[in-house]
Parts: sequence; structure tokens; C-alpha cells
Amino acid sequence: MSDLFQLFDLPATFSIDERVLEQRYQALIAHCHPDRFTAASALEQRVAAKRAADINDAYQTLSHPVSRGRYLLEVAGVDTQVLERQPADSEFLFDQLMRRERVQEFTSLDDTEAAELVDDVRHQYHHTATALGTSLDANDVAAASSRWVELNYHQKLLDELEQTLNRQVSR
Amino acid sequence: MLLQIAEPDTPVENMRPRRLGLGIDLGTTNSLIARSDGKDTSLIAVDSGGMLLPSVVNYSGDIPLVGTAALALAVRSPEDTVASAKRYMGRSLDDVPLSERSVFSDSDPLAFATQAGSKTPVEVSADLLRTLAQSAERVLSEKADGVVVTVPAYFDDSQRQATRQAADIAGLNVLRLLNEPTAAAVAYGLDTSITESGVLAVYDLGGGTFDISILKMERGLLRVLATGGDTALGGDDIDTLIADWLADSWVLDELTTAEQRELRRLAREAKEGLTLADDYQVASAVFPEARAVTITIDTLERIATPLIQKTLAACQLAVDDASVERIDQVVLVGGSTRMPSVQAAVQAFFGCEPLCSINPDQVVAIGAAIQANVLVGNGSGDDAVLLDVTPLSLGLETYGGLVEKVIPRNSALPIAKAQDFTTAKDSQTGLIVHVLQGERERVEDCRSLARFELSGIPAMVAGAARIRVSFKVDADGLLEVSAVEETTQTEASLVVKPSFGLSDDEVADMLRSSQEFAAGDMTVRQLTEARVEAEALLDGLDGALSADADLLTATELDELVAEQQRLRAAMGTDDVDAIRAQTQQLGEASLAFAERRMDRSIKSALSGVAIDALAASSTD
Repeated sequence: MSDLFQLFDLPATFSIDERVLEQRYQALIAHCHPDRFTAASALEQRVAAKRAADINDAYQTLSHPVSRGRYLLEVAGVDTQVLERQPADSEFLFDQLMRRERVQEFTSLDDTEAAELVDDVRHQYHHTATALGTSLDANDVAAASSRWVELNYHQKLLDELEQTLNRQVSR
Repeated sequence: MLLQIAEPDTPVENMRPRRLGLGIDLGTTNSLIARSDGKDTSLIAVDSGGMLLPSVVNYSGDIPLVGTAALALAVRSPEDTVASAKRYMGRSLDDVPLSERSVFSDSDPLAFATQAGSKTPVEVSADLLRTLAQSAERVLSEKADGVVVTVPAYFDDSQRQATRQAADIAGLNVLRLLNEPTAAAVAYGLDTSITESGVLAVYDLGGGTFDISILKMERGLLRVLATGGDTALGGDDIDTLIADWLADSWVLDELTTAEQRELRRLAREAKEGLTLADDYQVASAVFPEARAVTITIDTLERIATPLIQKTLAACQLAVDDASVERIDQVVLVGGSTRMPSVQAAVQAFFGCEPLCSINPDQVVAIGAAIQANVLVGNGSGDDAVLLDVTPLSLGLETYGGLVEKVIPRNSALPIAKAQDFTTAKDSQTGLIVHVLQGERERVEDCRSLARFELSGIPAMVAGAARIRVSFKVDADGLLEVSAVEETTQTEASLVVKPSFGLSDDEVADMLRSSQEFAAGDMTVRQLTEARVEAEALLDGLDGALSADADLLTATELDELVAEQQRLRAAMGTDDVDAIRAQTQQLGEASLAFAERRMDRSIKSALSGVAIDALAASSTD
């Protein structure tokens, strides 16, 4: 597996500056996009299209914490497909179940409760992402694997909550 | 101070003769074609009726009649007159509602039954595209080097493939399939004027369809966040409502077909009249006993309100789906958006004044023409790159009828992704690769795009084979899938074609049979094309060698120069096959060099950003 971080001239760590990644991505894709090569020879078009696809793929992988974590775990030799099928810690699952119930009854919460829930879900997500970064940086693959599994759960709940919020704002 | 870094391989544009790129809006009701020279953009009149070519083809005679001429025959031979072919692009008979099936032959591929035989929607679209391009070339006395054809943002892979096939059959060189809302944004220059980021809504109320798209623009990178609409709602419905109102006012019933048509004509006139004035008087010689009535803008608004509310409900769904906080700009597309009550409703809903200074019938074709001019090679080099995304997720069927997503929706194009699979049973020698499109988890809820078999896998125990399935989507959104068993390099691949579309051979047959390419012309054309491709490669390599020869070892350089000479020698002959073979060989020989140059230019693009970032932080 070639180093995706290298494409953007970034160190291969979890805690990258996402703004810098985005800037570099935009410069690179604007440079390699097939639209820049419509008048070039077929060979150059092919090379450019291949690079543009690599860059889009790498950016998609690195720009989201969940997929960036997955990539770094794979590099460290973890089979994340196996990891996804393993059950998470039961205490964690119970906590998550409680939060999910709160999210599902979101519309019946009063303003203070709603704000607390939003804060809680966002905090849990960011906290877990930071912990994942720390474990990865310390080469603690076991801890990183657990944090990554948890981050998957937090991501799903966060998505659900954001959807509920958007529906509320636009109504 | 900011340092400017020149790119080492910026092509010298001025030395090349200007090339002609045309923009085509292939619409459900009307189609248009336009050209741009970078400064001015204009529509080209291709039909006796003006700029709009009705998207109607009549197949009653020896040659197909297109546009107003076909429309005139529609009354006499309705069964041979095909309209709204766009609705059926990339579709099979099963996709067509029962109420609409009567015009089709009863077998796949889906085709209209006419006197001239079965005509697929792809062939009908090809006839429209050919008419547009040929008429434009006649008006301009110039051959087009390439075209940009627009498609709705929600078009899936089958529909895009079908559009691409239609252009191939029409003998056009397609530079790009462009999303219609993206084209409208380009026409207003929003791709360059939005320097940081912004969210746009494109509200497109055409004759028979309504589309709403929410787009996000970020420094020239544009993605479609959400699309929605109603394929059976448009300006024609407003005409019907006005016609009903007129019939009521005049207490008419039991109308003949001719009278109904007259009533609709009056309705359309009234609707158009009311875009300029607050009231409009309607009278007709066909209904002599009916006194002239005055329809006011308030009446029209009352009549049209339920319909406009329906479009706003679709807008709401799209805004929800896009998960955006606010809309910065709204662009109006489609003739029906001229109605003041539509404009007012849109402004109230989105909370900003809609852009409507460009003729809403023409705005998509204008955007397509601007982009065609850039893509054909007349660009300045700093034009924004329009980055399209996959409208729907692409995936594979796995065990239990579930879909495994390989490329998620909203992925920036082009993109390539691979997924590894293994065999489920001992000594399994084949594997069905079933490609699907859609967001749902179950196979039956997604759209089947293609199915092929990877066979000849050597017998192994379950789980030992390593099958890598790769998806490649190009900048137009067209998909190619391949599967390889990695331990033995057993391979199978295909370009995904609409499930019930035309095969490559059928397309080639149509190309051959179209009068454009008589046998002699075909040879000349092939020779010309082979020479053009060879020259492009040689020129490109000359430029590359003078800039970056240091990337090659002395041996590599000698080898390349020798291959170049061999190709030049082949070009001295009229031997098409030899030219192609040598072009291929030189291409392969210079592939590694081209990759190294690309990597070097990528590095320089990155260092440009690094310096930008430094300069930005030092001025903070």
C-alpha cells in the first residue's frame, strides 16, 4: 500500500491539520484533473486521469477521521473488516444505547436538554477521535483498535443527530 | 510578497490555432446549441422556429425530420412522431409506467414503434444531436472539434452511458458530459466569482419537468449536494390550468381536438403576455361567440399557486437532504421561471433574489458552450476546474442479497477504488460480479447496472482466493469494473453499459450505416485520426523532453528518441495500422517518463501551496 499521506506531503499521523490537507488537495486536483488535459495526447490524459483518481481516493480516505483511522490501522497490520465484526465493549454499548434513545426522542426534549445532548454527542465524538490519535501515535495498536470501533458508533449517532437538527432548522 | 511559481509544463496556447467547441443542451422538450470564444457566447439558430429545436423527431418518411418540421407532422402521424425521448434514456420496458407503454415495441431494448422500424431513445437523441451539430456547423461554416452535452444532475450511470452513446452515434467528439445545474452556474460565472465558498440552488422549471439542485462551490471545486424535483410537473401544466380557466369563462364544453389545441395556444400566449404586463386580453376567431376576456396577473397567480407550492415542497426536501444552513445564490432555469409569481415565490422561499438576467431557456446551453471552449483547448489555464461527484453510490452484491458499497455517493470524480473478496465454497471456480447503484442496503432496492462472471479461478479451499474488484469512474461519471483473482491473475472486466442499451457492436454498426461515413470517408477519417493522435504524442514528447530530459537516464533518452524516429518514419506512409502500432509503442515507451513528469509537476503544485500558506501566515 503506497503512503497516501506522502501524496500531500504530510506526515503519516492521525492528527493532521485538516485545513492544510484540504488546501493541498484543491491545488493538486486542480492541477491533475482530466479537464486540464483535454488537448493533450492520449498518454498524458491517461497518466493525469490515474493521478487525479489517486488524489481523490486519498483525499476521501484521509479527510474523515473514521476512514483515516481505518487506513492507519491497516498500515499497522490490523484487518479492520474483522475488527468491524467483533462486538464492542458491553459497557460502552450500553452507554451508546442510552444516547441513541435520547437522540430518537430528540423532538420531545426541552431546549436545555436538547443542547446538552448535542454537546454530549459531539464531545464524545471528538474525545474518542483525539484518543484514537494518541493511541496511534504511541503505536498502541490494541487501544487504537478499540477507539476506532467506538468512533464508528459515535460517527453514526452524530450523523443521525445532525439530520434531526437540520430538519428542525429548516421547518 | 507572494512568489509566483510558473508551472514548467504550461502549454503555450497562443501558438495553437483556435479550436471550435460547442455546448449542447439536450432537453426533454427543446434542445439548443451555443458557441463561445471565451468573451462572447451566443446561441446558434438551427431550426425554422429559432434558437429552440423542439426535441421531436418524425420517422414517417425516408429520412427523419427533426424539430419544428417534425412537430408539424405530429398531428398527421402521431405514432411516427417521437417526443420526450430523454425521459426514457437508459431505461428498460420494466421501468416504463403501464400508461406510457403504448408507444413502445413490446420487447427490450426499449424502443419506440414507428413506420421506419423500432427507434431506441438513444437513436432518437442521436438524430437530435446530429441535427444540432450539423446545422450549427453549417451556420458557422466550421467543423466542431468537440462538444459538451448537458445531462440532469440526477442522471444515473445508465442514463449517462446512453447519452454518451447517442453522441457517439451522431459522430460527435464529446469533451465532457456536464450536469445541467453546473452549466447554469458556469453561465453566470459563479465558478470563478465565488472565491471562497458558497451554496447555490438551481431552480429549473421546464415545459414538462421540474428539477431542483443544491450545489456547493469551493474555490472552483463544485459538488452537487442534493437533487430533487418532479418529472411530471412543468410549465405545460400551467398552460392546462389557464386553458381550463378559459373554457370555464367561456362556458365551453365538448371541445374538438382542434379547439383544445387553440385553447392551449391562447393559454400559452396569455401566460407569456402576463410576464410583461399585469393583465392580458384573450380573444379568438375560433370561438366567435365568446367575448374577449381579461386575465389578470392575480388570476394567474391564483391558478398557478398549487403548482408552485408543489415545486417549493420539492425544494424543501432537497435543502433538507443537502444539510445546508443557508443558500447564497439561486439561479433560475427554464422558460416557466419568467412568470413573476414563480420568481416571487422562489425569492421568498430561499430568502435571496434569484439570478435571472440570462434567458432562462438558454442559460444551460450557454454554460455548456463556455465550458466546451475551455475544454477544447482555448482556455487560459487558470480556469476553474468543475469537479463533479457521483450522484449515487456504486457497489456490489454480496451474500444474502446485500449491497456492499465500493464508491460512496458524492465522491469527487474521477475516482478508482478496489475491494477484496474471496470464495465462499471449496473449489469454487467462478464468481458473479453484480454491479449496483443506489443508497439502499438490499439488492432489490438498488438499480442493477451490470452482471458479469469471473470464471476460471483454479480450485482452492474456501477463502483462499483473493479476488480484487476494481471500480473506475471517469470525469463524466461513466463506470468501468474489473475483477482479478490475484494469486493466479485470472481477469475479467467490462465497461458498464445500460442494462438494456446498445452493445458496442450495435453502436459501431449505426456509425457505419449513418450516411456520414461512406466507406471511402471512413478510411480517410481513420488515417487523419491516427495522424492527429501520433502528432499530439510527438509534440507532447518534444515539449516534455526539452523541459524535463533530466528525469531520464542517457539510455532511456536514446531509446525514446529512437522510438520517436520510428513513429515519424511510419507517419511518412499512409499505413494506418503501422502508425497506430508505432504510436502505441512510443506511448508505452514514454509512460514512465510521463509519470515522472506528472509527479514532478505535482511537487511544484504543492510547493506553490506551501508558499501561499507561508505568505498568508506572515501577513496575519
